[in-house]
Amino acid sequence: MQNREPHTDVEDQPPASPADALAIIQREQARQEPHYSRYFLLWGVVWLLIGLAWFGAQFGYWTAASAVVATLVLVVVATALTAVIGVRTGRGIEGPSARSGIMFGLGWLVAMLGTGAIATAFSSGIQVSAFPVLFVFVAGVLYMAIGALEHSRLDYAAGLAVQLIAVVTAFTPAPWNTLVMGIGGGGALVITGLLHRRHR
Amino acid sequence: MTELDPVIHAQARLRVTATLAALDDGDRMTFPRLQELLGMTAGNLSTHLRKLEDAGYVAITKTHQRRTPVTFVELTRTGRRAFEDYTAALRALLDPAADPSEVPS
Repeated sequence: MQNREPHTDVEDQPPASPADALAIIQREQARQEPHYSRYFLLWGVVWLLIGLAWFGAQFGYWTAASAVVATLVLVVVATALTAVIGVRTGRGIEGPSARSGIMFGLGWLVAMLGTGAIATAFSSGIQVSAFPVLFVFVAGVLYMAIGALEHSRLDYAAGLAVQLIAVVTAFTPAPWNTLVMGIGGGGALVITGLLHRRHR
Repeated sequence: MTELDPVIHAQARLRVTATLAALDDGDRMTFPRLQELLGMTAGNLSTHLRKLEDAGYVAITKTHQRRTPVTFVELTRTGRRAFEDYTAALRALLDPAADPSEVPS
């Protein structure tokens, strides 16, 4: 917290000019915008690491079991961090947006658990390496929905890019599919995160 | 020339109003969170909130959450409209050509 003297008199003064007043409004409101970049950067890096973990496993640098463990650990840690960022962003605010934030967060969880359950049910019929593509595609759909609802072309474009990468990955033969997914998907999210940061 | 609302047209109260206006309709913010965002002392913030409350722009609710007293602050409908009018007036001052009711000087 800033150590500011209670200069009530100075702060009671009107802003220097209309342009100054508008600048004050923009500065205060920008401060409150959620840091979307953090989510994108976090998940972009996680995604990249998961892709590389599987790529390495397919080339025999380490076992597939290690890649599974790495994936689980990364996803659990990133989910926990996402929840922490979400709770911190909404602290001290009560009302409809807090409720919709919780619904949105739980929505992701349900969508991902559901995708996992469906993939497991069909596990005998499809390639194991196709599993991540399903999660990626669902994530892309959710990003696109966020973009549409939040009037964010950037998120919408990120959602489209992620869906496209999932489809391209599905048609890419192993072992390159994991590389396409990791670098393409993770890279798309990192770029989205950096663009969000620049727009702030 | 467009009159700027004197209740909002003071640096501290403009910062308070802009911060509260960024909340979604129906959302409210705790006093400590508002204080943290603005970096104002509790006394100073209270003084300005009282002026906004007297004008009917801000509603202050004191309640309890798990036996701890919590103070919520939110913009009233009147306050939100006053803030919208204020920003519209600022824009008109900056770009009189955009507002047909304004005669450029």
